[in-house]
Amino acid sequence: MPLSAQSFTQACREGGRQIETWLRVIDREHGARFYREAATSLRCWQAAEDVVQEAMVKVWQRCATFHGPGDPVAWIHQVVRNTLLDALRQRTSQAPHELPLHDEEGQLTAQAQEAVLELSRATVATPERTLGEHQVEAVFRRCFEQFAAAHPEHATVLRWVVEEGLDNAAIEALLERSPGATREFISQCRKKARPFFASWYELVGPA
Amino acid sequence: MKQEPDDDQHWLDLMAGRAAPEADARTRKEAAWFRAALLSYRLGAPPGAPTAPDERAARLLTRARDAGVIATAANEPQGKFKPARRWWLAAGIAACALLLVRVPSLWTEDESHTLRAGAAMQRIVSPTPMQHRDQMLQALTGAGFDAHPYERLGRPGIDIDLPVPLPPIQADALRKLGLLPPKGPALQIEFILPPESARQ
Repeated sequence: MPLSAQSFTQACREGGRQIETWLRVIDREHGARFYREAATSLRCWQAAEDVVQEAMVKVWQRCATFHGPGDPVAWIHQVVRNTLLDALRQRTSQAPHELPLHDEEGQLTAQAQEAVLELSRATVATPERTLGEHQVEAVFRRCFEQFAAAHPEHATVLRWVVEEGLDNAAIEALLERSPGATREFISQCRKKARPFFASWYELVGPA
Repeated sequence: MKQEPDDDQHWLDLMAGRAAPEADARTRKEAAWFRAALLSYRLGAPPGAPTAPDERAARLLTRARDAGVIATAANEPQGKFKPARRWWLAAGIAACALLLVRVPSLWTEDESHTLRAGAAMQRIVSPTPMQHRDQMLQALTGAGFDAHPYERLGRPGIDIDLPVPLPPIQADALRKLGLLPPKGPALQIEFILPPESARQ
């Protein structure tokens, strides 16, 4: 069965076996990349499966909102990403932060900044000691891991922006937010990332 | 470090690989390094592997059933057989009739075709079980049934998922194919060789 807009809308209208066939085919043909993408952000295959399958069910619960003749697979991919971002958001809100990481302006609190610096001193080599490219890479990876742990949703969207060249409209659709709220989110991405990459910027010296 | 809203937009454009000629030098530099690093040091999937595709698909279907997105065989609505499918059913039955006319050998040997009725399993004795199974399968799917072939202990068979209660139009379709409509949500048909052939 071709994964076309026509077969999708027909399955949505008729339900039953046609949806089952669609589920089987999309999982077989596109499941691997959906699960891999979710696992990369969630750092866990099992959680990734849960998120992707939740998204697949959502697709058919809201299939009537798909407006052809666009590519239904691209639309499904967007629903998967929406669900993934929801999961990352939920994960952040459930994380047992004993102290708030940010102040009212969204900047790292003094205590959090000190903790990040302390962690950097303990785990990241200083610029004087890091000469090789592999060390720069290691520093960047560690910075990114810490950023992704503190702000998984922002880190994931930022990665997609760089890897896929997303523009504002695409980010709006992903986040399901207004243009204004999306601009604020983008601004927050930059602001939230900066302290986590301070030691790496220090090493490579751009800012 | 306060940024102007435009500056953040320039930063986003540069991060996405788009031109932002009005961006200031500092923003350009910041975005260029960050983008290059994110592209060079792409995050990979975590260690481990995803679940095997078959297992994963089975879980997905179970989840979809639990959510009511797809129906289980037992609670498939009667209305599933919509007008459009009735046409297929009629066409399928006609095709089956045509098939039987074109392959008279299957039905002329009446003595070797014994139908034994059971609640969920029906056996058809045939000198050519595999061929007979394939023809029956074609007739069933052509008539709109959800029928799947299988093979067990060297015996070819067909699994059919049916709604409960069975709509009269489907019951008639089964009868016309020489099958007894079952009471349950599934029917298995096995095709076996006549005893004398099996012994040889």
